[in-house]
Amino acid sequence: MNIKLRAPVSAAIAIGVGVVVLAGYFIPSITNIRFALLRTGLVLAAVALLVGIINLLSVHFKKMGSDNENSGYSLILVIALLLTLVVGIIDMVQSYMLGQPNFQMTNWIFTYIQLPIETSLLAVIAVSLTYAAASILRKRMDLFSITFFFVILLVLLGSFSIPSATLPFLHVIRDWIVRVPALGGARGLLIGIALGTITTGIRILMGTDRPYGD
Amino acid sequence: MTDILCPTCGRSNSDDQESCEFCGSPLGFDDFSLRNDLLPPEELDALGSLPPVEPDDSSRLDDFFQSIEPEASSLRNDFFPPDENDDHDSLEPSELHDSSPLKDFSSSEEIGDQDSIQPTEPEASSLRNDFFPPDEDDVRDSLEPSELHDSSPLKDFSSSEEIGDQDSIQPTESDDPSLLNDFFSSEEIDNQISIQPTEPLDDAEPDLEPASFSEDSGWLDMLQDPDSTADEDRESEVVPVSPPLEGKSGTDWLEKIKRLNKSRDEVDDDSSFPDWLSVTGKTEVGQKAKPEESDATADELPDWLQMDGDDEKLNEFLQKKDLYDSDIKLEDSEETISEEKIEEKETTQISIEESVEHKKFPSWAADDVSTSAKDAQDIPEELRFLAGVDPFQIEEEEFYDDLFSEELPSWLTTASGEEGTLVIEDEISPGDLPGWVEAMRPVVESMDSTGLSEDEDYIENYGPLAGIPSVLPAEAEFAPDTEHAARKPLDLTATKSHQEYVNLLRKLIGEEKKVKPIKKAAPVQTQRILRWLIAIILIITIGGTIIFGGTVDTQLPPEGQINNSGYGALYNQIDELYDGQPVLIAFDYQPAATAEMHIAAAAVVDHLMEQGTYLSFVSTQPTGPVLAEFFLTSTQEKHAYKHNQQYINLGYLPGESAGLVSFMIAPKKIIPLAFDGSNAWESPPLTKVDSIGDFAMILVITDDPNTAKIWIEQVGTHLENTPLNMVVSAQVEPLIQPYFRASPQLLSGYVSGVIHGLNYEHLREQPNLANAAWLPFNIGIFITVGTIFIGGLANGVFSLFSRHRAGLIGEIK
Repeated sequence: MNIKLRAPVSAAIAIGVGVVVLAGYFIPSITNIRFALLRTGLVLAAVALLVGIINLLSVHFKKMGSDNENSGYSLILVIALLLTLVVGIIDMVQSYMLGQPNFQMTNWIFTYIQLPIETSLLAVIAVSLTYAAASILRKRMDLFSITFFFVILLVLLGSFSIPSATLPFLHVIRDWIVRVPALGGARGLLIGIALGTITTGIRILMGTDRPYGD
Repeated sequence: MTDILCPTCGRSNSDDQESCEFCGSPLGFDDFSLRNDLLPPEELDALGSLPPVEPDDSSRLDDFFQSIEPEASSLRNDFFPPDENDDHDSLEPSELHDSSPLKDFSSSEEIGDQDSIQPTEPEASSLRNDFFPPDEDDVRDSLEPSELHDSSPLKDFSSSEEIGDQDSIQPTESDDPSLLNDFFSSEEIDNQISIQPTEPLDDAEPDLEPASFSEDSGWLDMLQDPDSTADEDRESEVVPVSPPLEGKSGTDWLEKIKRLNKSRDEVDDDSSFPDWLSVTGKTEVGQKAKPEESDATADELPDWLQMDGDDEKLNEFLQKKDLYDSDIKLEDSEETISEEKIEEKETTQISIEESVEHKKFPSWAADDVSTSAKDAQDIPEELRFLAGVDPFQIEEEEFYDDLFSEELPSWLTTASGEEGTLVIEDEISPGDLPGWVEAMRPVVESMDSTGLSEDEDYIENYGPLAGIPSVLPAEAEFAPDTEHAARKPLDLTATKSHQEYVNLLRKLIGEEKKVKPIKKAAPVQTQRILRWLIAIILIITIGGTIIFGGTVDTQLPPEGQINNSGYGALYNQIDELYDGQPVLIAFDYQPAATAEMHIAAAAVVDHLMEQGTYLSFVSTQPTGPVLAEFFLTSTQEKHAYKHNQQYINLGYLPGESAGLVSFMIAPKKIIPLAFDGSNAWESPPLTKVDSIGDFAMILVITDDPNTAKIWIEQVGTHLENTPLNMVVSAQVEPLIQPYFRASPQLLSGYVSGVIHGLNYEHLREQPNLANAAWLPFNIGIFITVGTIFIGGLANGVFSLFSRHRAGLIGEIK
């Protein structure tokens, strides 16, 4: 008889840990148990990060060996990962050996490779958003599009603050938009997120939702 | 040995049996059973003393009738009023001197089942009259066999419907029930109300002369509907009276039979009688009086047809009745009688042969009767009933023509045809079809006008259009016949324009067969240009401003606005810190947001450093520790903070919310070592820190709303005296404002984006990165606003123009 114990055990563990951690907010005597569980969770999360890095390497190693046209990108990724890892290990060894932080190579890679790349991507997003805002009336011209279009202009102009060219009423409008409509919308959004989080927590505690798998 | 027909099942049984060997019904024809069947119980007492009647003994039956005559006559008076008796007095035997029919009739033992019992004579015409009323003779004559001595031919030609409607049909031979079975089908027998016995063959041979029709009208009238009978009686009064029939013996038994029939009529009206006795359908058996024939045949009546002097009263009555019936018949059925019939009536001196020919016998029955009679004598006894009958000589069409060409019998015309037929004839004249019928006819002429009448020779041979010419052929004939088409080109007159159209069509069809490469949809060049134009404008303006621009003198916001703002609150909190207090700074932003976050956080961290706080860096992002180091080296280089002395980089805190909760409870246990591997908690400011609440301030630098929310919800809710502040991107400000503007505040203060960073610098009166980036930031905003506005208007106008054009195209289509 084939009995699958994986699903019940994992569900029991998840539900049990969730109940204990939740009860730790209300019962001080079990704070130590709650903390032990949370600490174990942190270790598992760190290990999961390492497992993720290993999985990333294996996947791209397989892509490198195939005839996939994107295998070159995988090669670059693997080389960069290994290079950064080696540089980081070297900096760590030097730091331990010297007795003081020495992350010059790591900072160089971060400052001159990772930071410009990600900043450039964000800059492209800025251009794309500008283009999207400009073409929104072409793709869909209705009340919401027009409203969205003019709100963008008002907020941006309200953020414009050059003394000789600043219009005071634009600042007032911008502050009103941020404090009233944006705040109200954000609160509603947060309340919705909170309700969703509670529902998800209850479903997990009851075993209905199993994000950890069957 | 005589067979006895079972009154129940109709099968023959030997006379020595008392009960039917087939159904077990009693075969004895005792008076009690008869009385029980015919008479109601109260009348049985009057008949109780009657002697029993033997069915196979005519003399005993005569005795029986004679014995019951007084009682029966009184019963008749009781059952029927005098008027009704007159109607039923027409029961006359055609053969008055011979009681053999009665014998046969009696031996059939169907007296109880008979609705009317009629003895017949073997003579041909009388036999016809027995089976059919005189009105039907014209039709029936053509159906009768030439040999009339035997009833077997009748069984061959008589249709079931005709016979089934007869109220009075008697078995031909009591000793030969098979003939009856052959003659009538089972259904026919069921429909028959009475079956009359016929005369034996030997007795019928010498009497082939046509009997008078009036002689049989009486018993047929008896079977008719009372109303129709009354009408016919009125007709018969006009017709000359047929010569009286003599024969006392015949009238004696006829009287008895009439009494029985009258009793049967009474039984019909009495619901207390059993079903098999109740006769609901009274088929009209009206007959037309033919006085001329009657007169002609009266002189030629055989002896056995002559009546006795004792029956003069009855004859007188019959003459009156026949006169009445004939008169009514002539008046009512004048239209239905053909001229040939009328002429026939006027002819009084016709021979038997002429009479026979005049009856329109069918071809198979049109043989000379006399010849048939002679031939019949040469035929063996057992095959005599087939004499003169040659069924193979029957022509079917002639048979049906004879069958349907003559007038309908009076009982049909009087019953249903007199009113309804006339009305229909008035509405629909012969030859004129109603409009809806003509509309349903296939219009064959239209085929000719189209010129497509090549298939005129084709005649549909099946289906509802069978027999109609020029019907569209079946789909199989629609298959393209290229050879036929090539041999026979269309005979069209094509003009030049038609040929041009044909050429154009050929060209279009030819192009359809060509394979065209699918071209990729060309991107909208204008949009690509716009995209590049936006990028170029932003790069040039902002980059030029950064490179060649300077600073802009900005003004400090109003004091009330500062006190109500997040940067004002944060400034006040940092301003209250003093040297050596531990401050936890979380670098939880992505490297992409480094520029904005550095500009916003530079003044705040600078302020903390100026206050001399001990900074502890932690990050829930893997890149956070490096970002922290980069931040210090890039923005706070002037402070020259040293690791483990003035700040500590605790590194990466995994687990997001769970890690934060754990770090909040026991930071030393969660992160025991610093980023460089040194003991993080050995420095003097951190030795007193056992929980996150022991820090003097917590400052979270993030560009992610979710991260900000986690910090506020997981850490800020458990902080009592430690303020939680944030430096966030401008996009996060809307989501953290609710926590800042809540009561109690979960967020003590915040700096959002470049604007708040500039304001914070204004508060500190120390220009920093925000002040340096303010001009490019504003130029970038201006260019962006201008681009969005111009591009938006252009696209909006273009969209309106496109919609208008599409609407015009739709209207044109």
